[in-house]
Amino acid sequence: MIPDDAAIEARAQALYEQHSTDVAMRTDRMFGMLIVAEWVVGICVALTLTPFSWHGHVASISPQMWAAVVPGSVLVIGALTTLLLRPGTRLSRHVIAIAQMGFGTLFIHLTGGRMETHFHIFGSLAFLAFYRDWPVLITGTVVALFGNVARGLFWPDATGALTALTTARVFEYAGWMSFEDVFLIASCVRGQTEMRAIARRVAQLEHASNLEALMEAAEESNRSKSEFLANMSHEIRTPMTAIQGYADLLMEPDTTESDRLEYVQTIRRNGEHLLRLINDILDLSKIEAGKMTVEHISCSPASVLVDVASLMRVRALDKALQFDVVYETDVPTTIQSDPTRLRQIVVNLVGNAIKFTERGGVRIAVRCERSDSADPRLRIEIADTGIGMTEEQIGVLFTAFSQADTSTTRRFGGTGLGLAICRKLAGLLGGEVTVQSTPGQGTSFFLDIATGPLDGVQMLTGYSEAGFQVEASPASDARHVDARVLLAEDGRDNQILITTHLRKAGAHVTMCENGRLAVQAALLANAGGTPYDVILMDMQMPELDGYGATRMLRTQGYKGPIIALTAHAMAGDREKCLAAGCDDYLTKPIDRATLVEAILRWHTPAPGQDASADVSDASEDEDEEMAELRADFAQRLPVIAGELDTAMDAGDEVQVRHIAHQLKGAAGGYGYPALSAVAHRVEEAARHGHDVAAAARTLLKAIREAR
Amino acid sequence: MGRSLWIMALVCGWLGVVGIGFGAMVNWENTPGEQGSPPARWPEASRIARTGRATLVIAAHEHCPCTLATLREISKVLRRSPDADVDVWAVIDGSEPSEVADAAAEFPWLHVLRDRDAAELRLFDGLTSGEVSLYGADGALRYHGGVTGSRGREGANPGAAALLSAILKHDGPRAAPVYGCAIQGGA
Repeated sequence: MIPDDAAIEARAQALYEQHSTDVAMRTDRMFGMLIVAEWVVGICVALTLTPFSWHGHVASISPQMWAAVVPGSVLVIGALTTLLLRPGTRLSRHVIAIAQMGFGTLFIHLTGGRMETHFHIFGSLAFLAFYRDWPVLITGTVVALFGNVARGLFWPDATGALTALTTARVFEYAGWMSFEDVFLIASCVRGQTEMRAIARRVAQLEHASNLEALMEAAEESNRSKSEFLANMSHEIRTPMTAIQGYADLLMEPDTTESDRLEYVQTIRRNGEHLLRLINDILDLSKIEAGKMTVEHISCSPASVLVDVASLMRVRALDKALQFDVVYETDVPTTIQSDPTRLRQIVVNLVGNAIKFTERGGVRIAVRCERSDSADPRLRIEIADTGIGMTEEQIGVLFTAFSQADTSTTRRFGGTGLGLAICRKLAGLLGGEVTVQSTPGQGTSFFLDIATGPLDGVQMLTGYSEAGFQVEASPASDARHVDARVLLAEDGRDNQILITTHLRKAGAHVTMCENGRLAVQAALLANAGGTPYDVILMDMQMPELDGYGATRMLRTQGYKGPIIALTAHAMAGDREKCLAAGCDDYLTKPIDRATLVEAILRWHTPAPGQDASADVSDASEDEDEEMAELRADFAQRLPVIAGELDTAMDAGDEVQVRHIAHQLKGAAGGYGYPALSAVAHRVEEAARHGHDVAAAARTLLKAIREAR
Repeated sequence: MGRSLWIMALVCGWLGVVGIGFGAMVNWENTPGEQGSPPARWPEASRIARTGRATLVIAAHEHCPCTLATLREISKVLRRSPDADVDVWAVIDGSEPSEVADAAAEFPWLHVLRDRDAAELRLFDGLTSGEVSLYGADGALRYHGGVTGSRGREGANPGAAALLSAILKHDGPRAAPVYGCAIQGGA
């Protein structure tokens, strides 16, 4: 039996039992009233026909009168007690059958054996069939026959129904009762069969109804995802349109230098937006797949808030909104949490607050709660004076792919993923995100997270946001990297980009084009007593890839830090790299700040060196150099397109895939995230055995249009 | 004792009480009354006038509810012997209005004699209501006893069958138990 059938059978059985109990209870109640009425009628009949017996002139209450009162009452009491204590049970049915037949017998005697009162016996059997439980009929029949048999046995000359109560008459009487019983039993069995059939049909209908509900839910989910895709399409198309439009403008020969810079910045900004969108989707898919892991490291919540405030204040001021950060209690200097995810949540909540507030302001209030308990919490409240929400809107707020309503999407944009991600991330941090809102007055989001044990942790008192701003670490972009870095990267464009970023930060970079050369270079430097401070290892290279090279180095006893560079941003990639022996993991496209931050994590400047020194004027130079690099890359695009075209014509799928891989890693870094995404699709098509040629043609078109 | 045994015991006890009550009633219904010894020949001292036909004398208690069944059974016997020449007399004790006297008036073939001083009942030695004595045209006792199978119950019974036989075959004497209230006794 398949599970569905088993479930239907189980439900049908439950329905049948319920129906049977209902029938039994209903019939019990009917007989309860009938038996009381029969008791009253019996007494009235006795009073009318045989109230007294006489002995000469002395009258006494007749035994029939006594029988109507005493055994009649006993019958009623027994039946009603059972109905009260065990209603709807087999016991009650059989007691009722006995009582009912008892009254039949009583009536026959009270009326002097009138033929008509024998109909009570036959009628009662028919009534008992209401229970649809044939054994009850047997009990009733036995009781009725017992009276006849006993009289025939003890008083063989007694009159039965109009004739002498001989053995033959007793059998005849039993025969007629059995005759009726046969039909009534058949009726009971058929009734039960029909009840079972009805129960099964109802169970099937319920099952079908449940399936329909599931189908509706699935369709609703599908609709929701379709809406989401439509939004996503809009979200992606908008920056893409800007990128293409400004790229076209860049190609205009009479573009001035300042316009060119502005166009490039616009393109970059839109590219970053697209990247954020893709990151959101990846985050959500990771969380939903249960693959998202969070760190529990020592971090400063105040520093995170200072970062967020410095980032978001500009946006608030752009809308002329008040922006405050308030510390309502002492807060711990450090907590055990994931600063990156904490920052992500707060940025999202504050971003929403600013987005939905036109007047008034946004206020971040921080407090430490239950600091003396075993489970201390940090509460961050983000309150705004924006449009607020109704209860209905709040109900769907944290659902992935949903926003307060679709008009919100049209008016304010967004993917509808942010709050779903926030809530899930907060859960991973041992807390939750809750919301209170009044339409037209504003909204307060509450982020509660676990801080970990606070024993021995210093509490900061009487400080302000400004104090942390002073203490805040300098932006990584401007930090100095005094390190010898070995870069293992086969893609020319990435080589140039990463090398430029590192050299601008002050690092000395040695480059090699595959894993084997990287292993040789690293071991040679070690042997020469001038080891590299950090190795940046691309994980996908010809001859020997990054995984193999890293494993080989670790096997040779290489202890230095190795940071993986990979274009794969899927769940599990980080673990795969770490398993190969890497210490850290960066995804392409490489962001300079992230790159510098990662190097500094693994290479602490020697004492006396100031990580933030000598780069105060770097930013302007860098912009110029980056602009040159991007221009170089743009000029190389026709060459790359030609190589791709040739490889496609030759049917060289390996080369096509290689070009796509290189482009995927490099294009994002040079400000072409869309190109990177299209290149990624070529790789994916090759990996999954899909139509590589079609994907490659799209890439070729994208390269030509990107030019 | 387990719960189900308790229930079983209670049900049995309940059935026992009901059974005893019903048993007492049925026993009373089926216990014959005392029968007298009527004279073997028609007593000349009787106030009942003889017409040269057979005479059936019914002894009746003026309040006994069982007696009605006796009258109905005799009515059936008479219907089954339409050619019989029988005068039927109900000798009812007392002289006050009574249910039995009223019922007797409804049978057209029945002569009623209110026996104020019970002299007639003593003459025929009627002790139980419903006790009948059939005397042939020749004055000989042909049947003596009851004509119901139990108290107040109509229907085929040995007494009625014996009476019918005595009427049709002019034989006898025959006898059967009688069921009804005691006519004599008490205060």
